[in-house]
Amino acid sequence: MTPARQRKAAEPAEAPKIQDRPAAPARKKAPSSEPPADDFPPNPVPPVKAGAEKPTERELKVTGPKEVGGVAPGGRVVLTLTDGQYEALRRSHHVAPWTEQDDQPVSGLEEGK
Amino acid sequence: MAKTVLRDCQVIINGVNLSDHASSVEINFVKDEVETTNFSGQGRERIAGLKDDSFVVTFQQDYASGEVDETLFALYDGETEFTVEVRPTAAAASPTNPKFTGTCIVLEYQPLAGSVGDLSETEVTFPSQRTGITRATA
Repeated sequence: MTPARQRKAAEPAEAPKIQDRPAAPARKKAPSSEPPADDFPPNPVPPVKAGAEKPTERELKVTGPKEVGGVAPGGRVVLTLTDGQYEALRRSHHVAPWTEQDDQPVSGLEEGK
Repeated sequence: MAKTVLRDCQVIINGVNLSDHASSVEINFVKDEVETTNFSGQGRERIAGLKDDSFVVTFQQDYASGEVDETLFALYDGETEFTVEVRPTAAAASPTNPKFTGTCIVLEYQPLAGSVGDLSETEVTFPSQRTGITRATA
């Protein structure tokens, strides 16, 4: 035995200090399928994987100067986009959400005038 | 079959048709080379590894609302994945006009580079993610 190990072995005085603490409640023995109790708890936030964002169908108005989804400016386009893709289109002024107002025909204007 | 002169290539970035500001386009199909050379022959042997396809597009820069700079900067800054679609002509995809599509990302964007008197152009590489670039004829 090395001198350092011999010293450790001859130090039983530290053990009572641990016993001074209040006894922890007895842990239930986990079933074999569960991870050992000493493991870190699972992270509540799932890891973000590139490309894992779920696309959703969005009804949009083409507000920019370019065709979006094959639809000319001013038209209505339905695109299946992730939040990031939609945000990029909105930030660059290509689209805006299609509103009820966009559905209504322009009133107050008579044809030929 | 008729030979093709590029006149109206379609370059569609995140659904936005930027063809009228694109002056050149490349579609690069690339696979990593994995060397498997062994003692059974006189020369090298290799197999195909991971795909690393990309689109390279030269855009004529335009800083107006809804034009090239705004479109590309939003994609670069948002770190989002998006679809890039390129077709040789404006016609619908067909056996003689295949459509190349990939889910891409922008990792480098140079909004301004040039000398006095130059047309302001920016070349952007769109590396494809995971599945690479696909080719469809319909």
